[in-house]
Amino acid sequence: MKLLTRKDEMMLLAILRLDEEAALISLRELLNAQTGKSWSVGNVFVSLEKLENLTYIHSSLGAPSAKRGGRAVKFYKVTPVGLKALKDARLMQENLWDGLQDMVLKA
Amino acid sequence: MHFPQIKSHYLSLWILKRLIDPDKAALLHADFEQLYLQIRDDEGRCKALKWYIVQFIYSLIPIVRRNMEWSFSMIQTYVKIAFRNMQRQRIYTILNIGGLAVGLGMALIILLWVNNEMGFDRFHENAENLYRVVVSEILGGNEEVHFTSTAAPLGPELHTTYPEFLDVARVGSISGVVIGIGDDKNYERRIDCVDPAFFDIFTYPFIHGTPETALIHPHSLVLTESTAKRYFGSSDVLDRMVRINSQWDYKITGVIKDIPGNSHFTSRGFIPFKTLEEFGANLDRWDKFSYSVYAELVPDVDLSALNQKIHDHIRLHNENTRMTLSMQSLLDIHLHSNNIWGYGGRGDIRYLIIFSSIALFLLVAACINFMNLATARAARRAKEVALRKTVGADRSVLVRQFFGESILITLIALVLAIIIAGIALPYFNQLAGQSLTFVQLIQWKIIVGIIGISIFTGLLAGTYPALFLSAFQPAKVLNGAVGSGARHSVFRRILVSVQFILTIGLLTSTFIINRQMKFVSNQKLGFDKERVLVIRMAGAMSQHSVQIKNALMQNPQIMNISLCSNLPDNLPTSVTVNDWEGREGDFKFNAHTLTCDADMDDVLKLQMTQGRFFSNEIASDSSSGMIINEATLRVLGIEEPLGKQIMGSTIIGVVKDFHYSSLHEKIGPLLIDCTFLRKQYLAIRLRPGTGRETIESIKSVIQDIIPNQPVGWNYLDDRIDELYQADRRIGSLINVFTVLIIFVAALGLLGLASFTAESRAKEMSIRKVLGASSPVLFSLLSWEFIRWILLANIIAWPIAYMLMQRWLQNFAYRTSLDAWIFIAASLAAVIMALATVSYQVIRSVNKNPAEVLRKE
Repeated sequence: MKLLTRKDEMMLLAILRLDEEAALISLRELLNAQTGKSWSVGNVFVSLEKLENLTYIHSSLGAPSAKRGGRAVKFYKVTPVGLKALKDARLMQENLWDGLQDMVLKA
Repeated sequence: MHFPQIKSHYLSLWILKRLIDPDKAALLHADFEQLYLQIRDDEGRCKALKWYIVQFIYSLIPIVRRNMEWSFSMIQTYVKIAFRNMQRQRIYTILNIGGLAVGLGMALIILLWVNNEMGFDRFHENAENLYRVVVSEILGGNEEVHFTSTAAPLGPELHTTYPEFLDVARVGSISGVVIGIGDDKNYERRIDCVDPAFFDIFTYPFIHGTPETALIHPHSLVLTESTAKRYFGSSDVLDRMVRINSQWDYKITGVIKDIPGNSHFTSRGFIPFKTLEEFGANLDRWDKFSYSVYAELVPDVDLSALNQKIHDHIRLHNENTRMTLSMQSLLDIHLHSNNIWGYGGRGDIRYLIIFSSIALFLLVAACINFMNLATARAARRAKEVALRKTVGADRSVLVRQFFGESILITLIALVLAIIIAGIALPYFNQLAGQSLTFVQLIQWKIIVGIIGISIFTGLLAGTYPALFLSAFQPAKVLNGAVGSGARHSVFRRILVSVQFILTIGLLTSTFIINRQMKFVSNQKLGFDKERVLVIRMAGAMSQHSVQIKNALMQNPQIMNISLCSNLPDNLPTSVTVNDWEGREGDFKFNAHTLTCDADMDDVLKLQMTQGRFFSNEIASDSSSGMIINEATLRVLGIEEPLGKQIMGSTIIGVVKDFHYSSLHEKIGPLLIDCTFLRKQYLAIRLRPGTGRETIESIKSVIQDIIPNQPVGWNYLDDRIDELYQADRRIGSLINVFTVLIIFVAALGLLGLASFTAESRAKEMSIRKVLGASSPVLFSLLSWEFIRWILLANIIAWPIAYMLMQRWLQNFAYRTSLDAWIFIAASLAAVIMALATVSYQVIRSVNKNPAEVLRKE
């Protein structure tokens, strides 16, 4: 299993956090808020494409809205494979962190 | 709600659709739209637009990067598969790459050559405004000659008469000059006498001195860098003195950079034009033609109008003249002057075109072979294609893959071609008489050319296989029915036949050219050219010519010596004969002239048909004796020529016709006189078996009389050989190209043979099973190729015949175009073809039918 990058991990967590509302724009807002950086639309798009290609997430189209010029919104959901990948990443991280929390967090 | 009325809306959507899947692009674009509208509602249209543009550009970066990563990984797999394929079919790969490399390598060399030839004289700043004067004269009959020699006053007069002439410089030359530095004497074949404006017109860069002042003083000398170094060991030689012909002192006032090889002007030293007077020239005469005129004309001059204006200028000074003037562009001199007598014009645009087209054809033939080989082994790739298609590759992906493969092969071939060109260049230089260097490859024009040629080759070679291979239908292929493309085989055959047309054409030309060259060297010239040593009398030698001759006659190795104006390799002087006893009307004709002393008949072993040669005992011979050749006698139209008057002299003998110039020209009228002017050469007949030591002793005899005199010598037969240098070059170039085209055509045939053998394997096996013998099968398969080659003959013959007929017309004396030459060339081609295909054919004939048919 390929290791998740930090960006992928953040993206998956953001999708889980937003649950039913996970679409490109809302995800970007969340990430902007959490990281304090401005994510470009293209950046988010490419990350989502990559995760979708890896079958970590899947997308479904919502109803078309006039606000979007008659286009539908694409909503994302984490798949079981994605959840497994998140879990693996978390476990690996915990293993690495084990016994070091005190030292690092105090510093 | 409506999106802003700006084009960026459509533009951004368009860009996104180029980069990602169109459906996804539309959705992504909708996201942009939504964000834009949000910001517009919050912060206004202007800010929103700015945000939109910045955001869009930022967004493109990760998208483009991702796309590149994708295509890069695809390219990686393509390259990997291409290499695997190449390894699996090694022989095909070698044939392919070898053929392409040879074609490309030849194209590279020709590209270098063409670039060099086209670039002649272009290095001058005003090159496109520079011209020279060309004189045309209609001789007897309708023969028109062109030359660049003009009368001395013409140049300045053109300059003052016509405002189009911005600047004018005359160029005269003195040949056989001895340049003395102290006691050291150096022979120079030629130095040029030029008007001071010469260095304004031609921008030769000065290392020392200035172009404006270099030639103002009458006794000043401008040298090229390497000449200065040769004389003095250094180029910093301003104000040093040299002595020319042991008589006149000149001060060096300038040193210029060596004149580049691609200049029609190849001088090493320049002195002021005015000083020609010191060498005995009268610069006021309108009837002596020996000086070239170069001019800078106003930019964008209307050349045809100017040519009309100056056309009849000479008539102002001589009403009876048949000479007319015109201007020739400096840039045309090198390639378009083969019928103009004068400096330069050694190139010939026709040969450039011929060899470029042969090289191009060679390259195209190599591409054709690539196509043939690639499609012939299509069966082997069919499964790969079918599988790729089944798992979802669409046709464009496959086309791209196969293009990639052919471009990869082209690239490998290109690297090889550069190596081949590097190795072959010295040989090419030798053959073509060029001095091209590999460094010349490194200039943007050539590099662009190379890249262009490679892409052209890759595309040409790759298109057909790419389209052909990608069109396989997976269902059919995987079922076992491989379309080996029988319907394409006629196309393939025609392509190979075209190669054979060229092969046979070139083969025929090679035979004919070689035959003519043999004819030229075996032709009886009418004199004995062997063992005649020729010494150019330079500097003070002509003043001491008789003394030198007498001293040399003491040498027992020397049979005879003649002092003469020229030798029968080239008689540049001619005279219009318009006065003789028995002349009818005002008939006149041109005759070549030769001046020599009474020993010339012994040196050259000339034969007299009537009368006698000059004699030292008869004093009147040297003042009024004249010998004519048989051709003159025919033109004169008189019987009993002896004792008759011609041009103020008396005819004392008629010499048997001999070739006084190359076999390109017919033997025309010739007048030989014995006056003591214009003695430029010593012609010495040596005894058989003499060698270097005789030449050394001749040198020392001359140097005893004139200390430190440099002595330049060569043999008459070598000089005569040189007359055919251009023809011989063409011959050897054609030889080389013939070998190459045979190589490439053989490759093509090999490809076709293997293809045919493969596609007819079953048929052959069935025939064998039914009882056909191996020879029958062999001839059956071979006939397949031979008939196409026979067809190629029918087309090649007339083309070769016409071209060679034209080439032979350059020679007044030539061999015949016999039918057997053509048949021999065809036979050679057929034998070659049989040898090429026989391996494949024999292998296919000897195959065990059981193995071939087992699959059914």
